Amino acid sequence: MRPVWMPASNCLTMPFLFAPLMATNRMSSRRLCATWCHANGAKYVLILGGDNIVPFFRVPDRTPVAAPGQAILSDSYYFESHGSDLSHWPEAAVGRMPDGGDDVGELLVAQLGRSARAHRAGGLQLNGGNLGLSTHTWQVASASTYKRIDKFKKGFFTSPPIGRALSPAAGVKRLLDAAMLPKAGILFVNLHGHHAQPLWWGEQRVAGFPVRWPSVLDLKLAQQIDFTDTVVFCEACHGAAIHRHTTTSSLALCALKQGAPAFFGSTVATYSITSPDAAVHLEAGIDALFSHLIDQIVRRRARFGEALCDAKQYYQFDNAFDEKNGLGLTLLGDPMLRLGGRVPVDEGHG
Amino acid sequence: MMDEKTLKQRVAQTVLTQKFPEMVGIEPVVETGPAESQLRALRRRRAFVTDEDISNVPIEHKLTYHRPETADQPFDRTVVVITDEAGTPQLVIESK
Repeated sequence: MRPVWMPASNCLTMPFLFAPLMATNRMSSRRLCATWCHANGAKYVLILGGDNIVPFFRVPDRTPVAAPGQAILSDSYYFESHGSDLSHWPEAAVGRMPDGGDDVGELLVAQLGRSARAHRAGGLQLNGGNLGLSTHTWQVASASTYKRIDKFKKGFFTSPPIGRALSPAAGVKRLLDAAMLPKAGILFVNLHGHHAQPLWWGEQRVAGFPVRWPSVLDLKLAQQIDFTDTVVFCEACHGAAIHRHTTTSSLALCALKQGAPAFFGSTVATYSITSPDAAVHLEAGIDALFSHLIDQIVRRRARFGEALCDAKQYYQFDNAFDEKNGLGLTLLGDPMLRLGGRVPVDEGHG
Repeated sequence: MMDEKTLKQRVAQTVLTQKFPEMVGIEPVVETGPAESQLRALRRRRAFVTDEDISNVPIEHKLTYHRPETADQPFDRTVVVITDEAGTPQLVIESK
């Protein structure tokens, strides 16, 4: 019952045989994972399979709104040896390729094939087309993060006005359709999410009151989108909550099935943090995590898993709330992947 | 220390009515203790933290408002307001 060590790439893969140990959800399994990484000098860990095969670690959720026994599902929690109750400090670049349930390994094989192709090509080759979707209420924070993808904010939309429930009276100018989504690009999402429904919503407030939540992206639309080589950054609550879900009940799994090589999202609720005067506080909260993560991946061409690990560590320095944001943020994809091409001179290391 | 009723009223007036009016009237869970962010910073700096160190960390109040999913609101929402000891709001935390 041993993980597979691939010395050429400093990568540890967690195969099915290792799952029973991780399923115990005990601290001993954490210690063993961290020890394996240290002993082999492993920088990267790739978990193969969904929660039914290699379970997420269940960290007790101590927030007041949590139901009794509710847990935060985390992959990176397995791989820290210096963390504490107050600070999550992962020490390995972790990614997970979930399986597709009863598809005879089809989704898993597709992800591995995609990843191998990208590595052979020297990294994921994007074509420069990107899309950013934000609620109207979070547009300032979203625009600030999206500028790290495209400084001219091309392809950045708020909802409303964009939305599928077209209502000219309410100012909806254009419907979101599958053709708008970028192939071989980046999709940035800062919308509302749901723990069970495959649906992301926008939001508009008038005089402080929320007046509507238009549906922006649902499963039917996602199934029409070609996500080939599209990297998804999703700040929505439960964006990567894949446990107990399949490709027909989770937008994240659907995106992977439709060709996405990487999906960054949270297994639990996510939180933004602002100052009381409503100024955006990008040094804390999920916005800060994504801002740093995107900066590492897009502008510095860091490997996906390393960028995530780095963002989680960086987040600790200004974390003003609980550990949910850091623990729950998960990479569905290969942690060793990176974007190909050169770092643009005018954007690199700024 | 500020009493809980005054604290709730102050947060309702200064934050909720302007930013989250739909949360006005919801009874928050109130937690009071050493400021978490400063406690974290302290633990990062020192391997061993004494009770005295912790007692020197300023007190903060954390008020958690939760609105479950309804027919009008398709997902549940949580808003947390963190204030200093005097009840002045310091941070507003909102679920996505």
